[in-house]
This record gives sequence, C-alpha cells and structure tokens, in this order.
Amino acid sequence: MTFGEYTKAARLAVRLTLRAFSRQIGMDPSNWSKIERGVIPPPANDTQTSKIAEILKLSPEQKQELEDLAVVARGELPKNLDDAALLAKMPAFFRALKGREYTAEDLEKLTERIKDLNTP
Amino acid sequence: MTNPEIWQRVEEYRAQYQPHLNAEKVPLDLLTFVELELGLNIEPLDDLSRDFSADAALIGDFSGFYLDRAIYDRLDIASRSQLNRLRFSLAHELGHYVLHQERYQNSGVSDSESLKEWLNHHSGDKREIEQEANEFAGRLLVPIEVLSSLFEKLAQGLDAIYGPHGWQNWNDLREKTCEHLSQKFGLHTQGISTRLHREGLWPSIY
Repeated sequence: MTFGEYTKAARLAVRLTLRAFSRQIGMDPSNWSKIERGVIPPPANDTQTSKIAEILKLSPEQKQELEDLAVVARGELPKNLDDAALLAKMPAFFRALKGREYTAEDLEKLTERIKDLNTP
Repeated sequence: MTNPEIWQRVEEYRAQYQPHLNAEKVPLDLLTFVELELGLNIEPLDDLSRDFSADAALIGDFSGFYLDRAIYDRLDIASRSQLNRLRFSLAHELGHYVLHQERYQNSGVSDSESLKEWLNHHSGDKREIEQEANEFAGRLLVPIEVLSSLFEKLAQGLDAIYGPHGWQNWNDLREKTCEHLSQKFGLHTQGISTRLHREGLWPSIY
C-alpha cells in the first residue's frame, strides 16, 4: 500500500471528505488529492505528518506505518504519464451545458489541464 | 433504455445505498456520497465550467469526477442556484457512472481524435445517452414518493379553492409550485417542472 492509498483509506474511515480533511491540515484540496494519487510526495515535515496522524485518529503503530510509507513515497521517482494513462484520465462523457461541440483545440487545452493534475 | 427502466435502476441504486440516498435525505449531498460511500475521487479542475461549459465530468478510468475548481473552492459561499446546478451535474455524471460504463469501454476511444468524436457524438447516441443520465439524475434527486406526497397535499388545497379542474392549466401557479419545490429538493425549477411532467403528476402544457 502506498502513502496515498493509506491516507485515503484512513480518511474515509474517519468520514472526512477531501475538502474537510484538506481544510484541517491547511492544504489546498488539489494538492492533497495529488498526494493521495501518488502524483507528488507527501510533505517532508514531521509536524505535518503528526497532524495528519492526529486528524486520521491513527494509533502510534499506524502513525509509524504512515511515517515509513512517507519515507518510501518521498524516495520514489515521479511516475511517467504515458499516452494511455493520460487518455484514461480524460473525461468519459461531457455534458456541455450550452450544447456546444468540442474542437481539437478544446481537447488540447483540456489535455494540458489534466496533465497538470497528474504530474508533479 | 426507457424511463421506467431508468427509474427502476435508480430505485435499486437508492436501496443499495440506504440510508445515504433515502428519500427523506433530500436535498441529497452527493458530493459527500460519492467520496465517502463510493470511495471515488473528487478532482477540482481549473475553469472546467468557463472553458468547457461543464460543471462536472466523469473521469475515463471511473476513478472519480472532475469538478469545476472555482465552484468547488467556493462551496461554502455558493448561491443556492450554483449548488443546485452542481448537485444536478454531479447526479448526471453519477448516472453515467451507473448506467454507461460499458458504453464508454466499448466506444473504441483510443486517441485524442477518437475521444473528440466520442465526446461530441457518443457514437451517434449522444442525445439518448445524455437523456438517460438526465433522467437518472432527476429521479434520484426527486424521489417519487416525496414528490407525490407533496403534490397530493397541494392538489387537495388547490381543489378546495379552485375546484378539481380549475387550476391545472394555470401556468403561473405551476411555475410558483416548481420554485417552492426547488428549495425542497435542491434542484433548479426547470428540473422540478420536468419531474412533475415525466411522473405524470402535473404535465406541462407547453
């Protein structure tokens, strides 16, 4: 299990949404989402890790596990987002509110935004 | 898929996720539901609404939903109409998640060109697929038993004042009723109007 998977499971266990949890640790939800998805490493800050453990109501053993996973995550190289992985992150459906048709330029712009969400 | 088939899927889905989607929980908090009950990701995406005319979108690997970042970041101060619009958009995308995963997986999308074609036309079935997701969203957000019960009470009161056939064609009254019910269900008035029509309770005369 990765640091991101571990914290997401623990967050759901204490029934905190991404917004509620991010607010409590003082982070932008998009950035915390990137951490949970393993796109960026967890904060290299013991105080922050302790705060995360406290909010997630982790036992001392679980907190140690979290710290170990954080060390591993910080040492990992960023994942390479290949074309197939990027395509999987594109919307499956698009309900354009104004009934518009999307152009190649629209898709290019959207692809860049989604790439940003999935790269450090 | 016919409307009754979609309604049945909605009610099965509601039963599967008791008590989170219970009728008495309206307006439904779908943002919390998709995260905490389905374990799906919410990923705020910059200017989704401004640049792509969409408030929400289902991610292609079905891991979660993109939401317009500006709306997501300001949920605490969002107006009722913004929240209602987001609620419907999310319910619509949940409709795709429940009804249409297989359609997308069999769509043959393999690169940006085929994705563009799919997003614009859904293999020629865009109108049908989007309508199914709309119907799913409407039935989910406006449980029929609650709507029927409220409507029956209203109809009894109106019958007493105007007689049994004196008010059904009065459009101003219908609009006011939709506005009132809009607050109850957290859905825009047009959505309520559609529910009254589709459920055969108070058909629109227009």
